[in-house]
Amino acid sequence: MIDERSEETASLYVFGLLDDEDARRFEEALRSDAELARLVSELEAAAASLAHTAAPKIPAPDLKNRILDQIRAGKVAVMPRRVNWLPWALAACLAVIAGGLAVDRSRLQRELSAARDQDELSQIKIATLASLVQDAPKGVAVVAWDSARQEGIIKVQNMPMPKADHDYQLWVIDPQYPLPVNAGVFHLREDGITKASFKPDQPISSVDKFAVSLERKGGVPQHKGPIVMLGN
Amino acid sequence: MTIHGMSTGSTEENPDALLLERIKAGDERAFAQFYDRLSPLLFGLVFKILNDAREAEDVLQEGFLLVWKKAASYDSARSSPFTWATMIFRHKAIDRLRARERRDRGLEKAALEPLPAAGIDGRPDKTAWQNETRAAVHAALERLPEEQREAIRFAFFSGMTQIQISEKLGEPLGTVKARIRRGLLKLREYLTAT
Repeated sequence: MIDERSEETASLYVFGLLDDEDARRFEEALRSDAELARLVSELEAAAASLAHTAAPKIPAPDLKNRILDQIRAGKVAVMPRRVNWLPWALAACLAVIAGGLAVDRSRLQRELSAARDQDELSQIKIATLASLVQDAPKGVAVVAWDSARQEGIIKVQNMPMPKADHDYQLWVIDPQYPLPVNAGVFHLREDGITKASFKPDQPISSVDKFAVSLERKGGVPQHKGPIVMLGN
Repeated sequence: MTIHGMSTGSTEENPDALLLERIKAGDERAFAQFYDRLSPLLFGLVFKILNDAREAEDVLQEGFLLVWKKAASYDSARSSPFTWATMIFRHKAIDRLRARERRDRGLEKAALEPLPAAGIDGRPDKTAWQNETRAAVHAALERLPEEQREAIRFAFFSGMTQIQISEKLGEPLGTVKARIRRGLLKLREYLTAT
């Protein structure tokens, strides 16, 4: 049963009226709620029907041939269903956080949104993780996650180096599993900025949060140590 | 009758779905047919949003190139080709609108104009489904309370944010959201029942 609040959010989502953060949350809910996804499809169809209230217009006669010429010239190749989004996502991440600590997820989402029109980026989730370590309040991480490829990248800044016998370990919190899913350990670089790719141990259907814990060297199959970063 | 856009994307009941399948395979003739079928409607849509013929044509060109590029990502289980294409072109038009901050009074006025009569700039439609669907959509919209009709038309065409729509309509934000919700749900119901 879908309540009025969800109906309202779905309606605003269909019209593109949610802000980036609310839209991202709603898209997460959509992935795990088939009934809600069906409602959105139906509302989207109803919304699209409003196009019929605009008076149809005939475009310039040569426009079709101009488009076809561009296609034939090979400027626009048919895209395969799955493309390598990592360069796009990484470029967007770097562009946003290159200047320092001011990780602005809204801006990152907007940049990715703009890139979606040029690439197949709709499956990408961006998460920002805040430090929970009292001595490292400026610690921050950005995760770009491709649900279709089941892989992602993480970039970490301003976290303290762990002791020699410990590692930071990334976890994906997916509601379908009772425990966080292991996404591997990563090693901080001396210059304080670390970038690593990861692939969780188990299939992820919906990401609730990403977390980083401090574990013994080499990592553990199930989370045991303290959570030091958390976010979605 | 099945409203175009409310139906599934099955190739058995939707010729546009069949065309998209061929476009996925790189079939230019299918693309040309898809263009012929939808370009008047989509050009009308982007023109209504942008209120500028030159910009609308730019967006139409970019949109159809995107259709060619993204055909492989079309999911027939999720939407009809009409809905898929309409949302692509609307999104591009609103992006253009927002980028250039062209929210002038003429545009706002256009969003509130009375529903136009059917027809392509005085010329007859080529396809029967467009006439049938247009009539059905108009009939469904006429059944909505005026304030709900106004709210969803603003939401679809104006490119404004929730707050801007609220300010424009002179109504509290919560009222505007409720009107959008009720109006869209009723529109879905009326079109599905047609």
